Amino acid sequence: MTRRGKLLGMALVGGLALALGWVLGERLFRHLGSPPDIAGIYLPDAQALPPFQLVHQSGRPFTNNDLLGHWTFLYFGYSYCPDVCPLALTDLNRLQRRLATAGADGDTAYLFVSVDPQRDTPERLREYVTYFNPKFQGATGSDEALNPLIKALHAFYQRVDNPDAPERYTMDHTSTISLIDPQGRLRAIFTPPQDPERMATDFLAIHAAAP
Amino acid sequence: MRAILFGMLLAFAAAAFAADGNPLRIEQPWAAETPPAAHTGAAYLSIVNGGEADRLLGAKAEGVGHVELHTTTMDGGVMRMRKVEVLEVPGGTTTVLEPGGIHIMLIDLKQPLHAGQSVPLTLEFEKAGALQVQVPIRKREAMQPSTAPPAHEHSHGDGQKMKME
Repeated sequence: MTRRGKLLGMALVGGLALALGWVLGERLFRHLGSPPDIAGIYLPDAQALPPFQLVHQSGRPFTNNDLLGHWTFLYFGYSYCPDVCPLALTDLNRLQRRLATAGADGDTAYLFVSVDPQRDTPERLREYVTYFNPKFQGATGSDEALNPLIKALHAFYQRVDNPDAPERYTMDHTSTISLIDPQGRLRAIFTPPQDPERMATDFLAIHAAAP
Repeated sequence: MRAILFGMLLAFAAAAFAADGNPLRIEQPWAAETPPAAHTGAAYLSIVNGGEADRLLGAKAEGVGHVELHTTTMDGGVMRMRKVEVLEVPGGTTTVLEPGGIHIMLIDLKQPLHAGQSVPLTLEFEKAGALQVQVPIRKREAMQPSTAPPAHEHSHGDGQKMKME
């Protein structure tokens, strides 16, 4: 490549970078002065979720359509989890009550997605999640059914075998709480350790900033 | 009033161990109430070691199929729970088992754990031998630290009845 060619190439790359920066900046800040500062990750441009189909605790299918029209706090876990999942569900219960007190719980849903479909039947899930709060819902699905949602919500899970007793395996799983907006898109991720009071404040800010 | 009674019970339990000259003392034991569908539960406590280093080798509990020690670690937002074969209990220290950290996992519960009842737990130490402790069952709401206002703490009980969606 000639020296002139190189210069032209660099100018082109520089120009492209500028254009990209301008476009991104425009998209990031067009809604508001500054995006809400939350204890987690806020996505100024909500991410659409790929089509998915899980099984709801009632036994019926649970799809993208079930996320429309309200905000959803989504947590991945499993009912055999003795420590962290009950901790998270207790926090979500506190969050729900906090939002209810603030009069901001009218358009919210709380979804526990089990990554352990082998042991978590819809019926077991229903008993499990409604113990923490009657408003909570559970859903699960096969690995194939879970994968699109897991990937889109930047989550992860993995079975950990117990060499002493195969039936007593555990699951590693992401302990974030995802916030899905009323258009069924990922809007924010609350990272652990979650504080219900802070999540409530953050949600109110996100709610207020939503176009 | 219940809190006072609970405290007295704790103090009594603690004193019972101290009186027999055992350098190990179990403080603030509690197990979390479980949902009706749960097959597993968790117990938490503090091990106060006034003597030389010891090791917790295992535990068993009445009405519970298996008892294991587990530790939870948070790794880039991913929760990983691992079995702990032996828990070191250094001398002159207090080892705290608490939510989100090390816990005693109660596996294959014969029946759900109900707040107000208790689980008889036996801890097996290498040097101190077997220590028995009555572990009161409490609601997580009442035990888990939170910055949330404590109001409506009792309304939670309404949620225990199963409800069809």
